[in-house]
Amino acid sequence: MVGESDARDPRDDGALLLAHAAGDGQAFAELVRRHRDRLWAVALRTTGDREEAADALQDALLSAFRAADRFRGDSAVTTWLHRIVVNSCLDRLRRRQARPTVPLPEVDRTVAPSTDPDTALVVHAALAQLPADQRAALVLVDLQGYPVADAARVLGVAEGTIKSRCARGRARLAVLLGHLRDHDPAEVRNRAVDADVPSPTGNPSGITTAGKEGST
Amino acid sequence: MNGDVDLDRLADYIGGALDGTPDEARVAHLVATDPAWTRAHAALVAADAFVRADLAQLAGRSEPMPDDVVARLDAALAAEPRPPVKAHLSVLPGGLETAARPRWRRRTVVGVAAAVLVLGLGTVSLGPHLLGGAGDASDNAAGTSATAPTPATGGPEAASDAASAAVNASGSDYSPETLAVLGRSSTPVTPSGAAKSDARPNTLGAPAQPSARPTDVPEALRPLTEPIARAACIKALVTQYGGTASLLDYARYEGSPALIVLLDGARGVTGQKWVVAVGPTCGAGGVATDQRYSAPLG
Repeated sequence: MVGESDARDPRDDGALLLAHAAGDGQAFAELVRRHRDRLWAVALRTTGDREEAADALQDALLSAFRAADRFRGDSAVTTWLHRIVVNSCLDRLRRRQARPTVPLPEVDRTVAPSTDPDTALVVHAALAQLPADQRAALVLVDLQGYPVADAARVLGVAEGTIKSRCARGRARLAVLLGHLRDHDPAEVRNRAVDADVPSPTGNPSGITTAGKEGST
Repeated sequence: MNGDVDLDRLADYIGGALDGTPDEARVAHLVATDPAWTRAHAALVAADAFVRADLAQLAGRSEPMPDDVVARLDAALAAEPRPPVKAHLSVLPGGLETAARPRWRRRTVVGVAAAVLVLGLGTVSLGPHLLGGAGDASDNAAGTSATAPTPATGGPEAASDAASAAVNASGSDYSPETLAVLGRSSTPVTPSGAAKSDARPNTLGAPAQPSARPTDVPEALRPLTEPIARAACIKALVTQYGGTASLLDYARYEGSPALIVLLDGARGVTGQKWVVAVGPTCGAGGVATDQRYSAPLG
């Protein structure tokens, strides 16, 4: 997560961003080239849709391009970029949810055993059925390898919230993937509303599956 | 597992999200004493291990950016105008930059200050936290008027971002349909969709009629009443859509706390209005917009 340099350009990420803000016409392109695969993976796994991912990533990178001079310098450039990309994806998902005529991706409801040679594809499809906030947390922590604290910074929420989103997301995946057989996958899939656990000092009544997130 | 066991709560417990909370002990007690919870706990722990293994398979799968997406992004970035170069740019701890402010912005700030001074009687203050010195307000219910507007507390940067916007806290619960009404009327709407008549754009050339009380702001949106945070939010939206903010309403969107922002001149098109509903983390990191809804109007 610390600023990286590259054989093609010895400058680290922070230097590239500052150079871009100072008018270097190549610096931002180099920054994107350096991190594009990782950012793409985040966008693709968060949106669950190739075209949405491409649109969200383009919006995000253009925003970062324009706002580079406002980079605070209090986090790694990659964290900053991931934050912009994830928020762009979540913005799109929320707008999509507000337009019920555009359904969320559906996958075959039949149980997919873990020995399936296409497990990765099945898990990808199941992931797309989770509430967006849970999916984003799982993508960052379980797929991209972010520590919980870093994921919390990227998503702008408390660490406990990330733990809760990941735990609840894994439980839902367990049902969708057939690892918890006494639950109805359709019921889990239809729980479109997320509910985060409150912070350690928060309201325990927030722990329900029917509530609506309001504090993050 | 049976229907008496709360799967989310049990998942929180297993995932460590309840650590240090009073509920941790309560769930531990249930797991230890209630047979249904005991079975559910064992089943979910086992399933959790399978899910982690599944996710590890997906994580190990390479996802290089496709060539067509690379080309598309390269083209989009190449077409983007260079950002204006700021002289003596540096970033201070806490994110305050020391770049020289463009001359036009200094003029705007002076203009805002002058407008604040001349608004005078006939207005009451929403307080520095809600307005940041850029606007004014009155008590909707009582229709009273009293003191002069409060000067900016967020600095000229914060003041200039919302300088031309009317600020309201209507308490309305907007939907896409009522936001369309908002776009036509340029005033906040009631939950039933009828436009309120007690808020007008606070443009520099036209003293505003005030409209809201700080207490009307949903609690989750309180951080966005801070001038700097609000300015960061507006700036992020203007960066994405262009134009200027003409109306801010601390309200709700489909039940959730939301700041409603009406932009004029969006996408660089004179007269093009754009309405955006954003959540409490809008402006975080300088670029997040936390959007719930966005649509052009007209």
